[in-house]
Amino acid sequence: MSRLLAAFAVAALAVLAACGGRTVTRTDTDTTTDLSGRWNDTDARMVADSMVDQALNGDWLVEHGRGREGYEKPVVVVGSVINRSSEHISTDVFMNEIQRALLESGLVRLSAGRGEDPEVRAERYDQQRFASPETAAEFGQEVGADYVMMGSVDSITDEEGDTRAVYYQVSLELIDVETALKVWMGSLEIKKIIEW
Amino acid sequence: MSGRPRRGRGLRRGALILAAALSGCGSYTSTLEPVREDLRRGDPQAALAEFGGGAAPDSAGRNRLLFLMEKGNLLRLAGRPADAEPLLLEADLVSDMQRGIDLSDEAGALLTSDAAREFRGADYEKVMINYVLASCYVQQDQLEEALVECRRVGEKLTVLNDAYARENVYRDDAFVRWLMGALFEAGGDLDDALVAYRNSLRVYEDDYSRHYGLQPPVQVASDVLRLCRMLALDDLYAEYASRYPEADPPPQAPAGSGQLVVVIESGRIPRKVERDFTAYTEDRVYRLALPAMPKRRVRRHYFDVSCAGLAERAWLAEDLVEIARKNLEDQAGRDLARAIARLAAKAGVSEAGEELMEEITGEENGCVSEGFGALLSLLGAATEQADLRGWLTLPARMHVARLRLPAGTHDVVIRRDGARTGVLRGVEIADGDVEMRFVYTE
Repeated sequence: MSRLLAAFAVAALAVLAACGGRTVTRTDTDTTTDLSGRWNDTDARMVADSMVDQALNGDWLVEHGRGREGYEKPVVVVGSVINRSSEHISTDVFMNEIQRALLESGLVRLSAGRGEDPEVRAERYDQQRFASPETAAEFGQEVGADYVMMGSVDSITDEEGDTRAVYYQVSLELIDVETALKVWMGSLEIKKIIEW
Repeated sequence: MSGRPRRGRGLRRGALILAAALSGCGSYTSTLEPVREDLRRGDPQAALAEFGGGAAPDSAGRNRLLFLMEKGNLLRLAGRPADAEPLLLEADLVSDMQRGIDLSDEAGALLTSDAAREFRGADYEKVMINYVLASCYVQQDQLEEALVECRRVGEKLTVLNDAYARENVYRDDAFVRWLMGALFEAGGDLDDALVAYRNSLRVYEDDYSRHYGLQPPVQVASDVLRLCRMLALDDLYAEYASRYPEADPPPQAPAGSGQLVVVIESGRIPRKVERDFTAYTEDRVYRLALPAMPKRRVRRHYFDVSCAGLAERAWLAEDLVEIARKNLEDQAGRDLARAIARLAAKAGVSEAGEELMEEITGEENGCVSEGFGALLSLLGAATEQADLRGWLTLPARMHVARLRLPAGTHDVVIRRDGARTGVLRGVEIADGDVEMRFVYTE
């Protein structure tokens, strides 16, 4: 009888444990997890991978003088990526990944972009006041960018009944700061079908 | 036979007692009244505390969406747009996911009332989630994100309109279109701003004047003309100038000046009330209850915005009272159809209950079986309640004023019906910029 009671108690505990609480599982960041159908980490990763591939294989590096004697790696500064879609998309997620991959390729140099340079300049200013003269960073020594990278995210949504189709287009371009010529353009299209 | 009239009188008395008992249970509208009273007194902090202290609808069940809408808006009104944002984003997601028919929800509602269904909100309430979110983003200086919300409105209304078999009354929102124009202009995108202003004017012309008695505001025509002039679109300028001869766009802004756009949200949207129809037979009671919006006039105020020696009369951009009323009228056919189906289902249950009792007792038309049928009928009538739920912290109306001010820091005075009602202190106007502010008043 006591065994039977114990078995009941264990079963009841198991049921209770299964009923409540939240489960958290660590997963590989490459795993595709589409829950709501909205823009997510998988889309951001696709954009970063594709854009890095397109940018590093573009002709603009050759035209800049890659392979020629006395070649200096181009300096790129990241400008704004405008979100013109109907979803809140953090463009920083894929732009940070793109910058990291560009830097690691060793083919370009990156200059501090919008939002970063004021902090760097404030630090330089503070060093002039508080650091020893030998170690203080000098004014007027920043390396000017050769190119600005900017872009946009657009989307079109179509919906009928319980089916929604969302088309995203992410475009990036590199613009020569001196000539204002566009030297490279990359884009990625993503289409999703969401069914309820 | 002499017992029958007595039973009829008993039923009538029973129905009255049960209805009185149920009305004493407290509907959502009466529960939220203290919150609205705090807002009426201009104390959103107290309203938020009242809401958290028990006035809130259930936050996890069938009123989840309503809870998120009300709390998100109260946080915004209390000056906490960053805290309001996640709740309102969730409200938008929850609303987006509410699709199709939930059979268990519908079956439950068929035997009780529409109030037992999951709250999905009226079309204009779904749109207002995005407006309230947009205003939160503007207050945090995130214009790009505010524009995302305005775009969501366009997509949302397209889907809602497609879902209706006949033409929907609230098929577009002129005020949100105008706000989109103002946001584009603030971001320096004049082409898109012009498109948005023209769309807004079209919706005022086609829908708002016809359905809500709100004539196209001459100020929106002025915005269109102003943008035409800035973009050197002479033909388009001539077209709109001939259609709106009274529109008078200001001359090109002088250097060292910027614009201040003030959106004034005033009053609270009226509560819905219940209209019920009850009929008695000697052993049955039939009751229909439907939501309605009282026809009484909501007082209209006028607002003036003044600063640096300049004053501007704010124009009425959105009349949510009329939109809500028309929306309810538009839904009336669907509400009535559901109420009749409910009536039939409840009558069927009473009959079935009586027959079942006859089988159990083996007595046809006996006191027990007839009494049981009457009791079921009484319960059916007593549980019949109109669905009065709605987003009750929304304003009644939105007014807009646009001032051109010299660059610098200003104190801006808001007057309602000539009396000072609020001051915006330390408003920074930068050269060539458009600064937007939201004001809440009664």
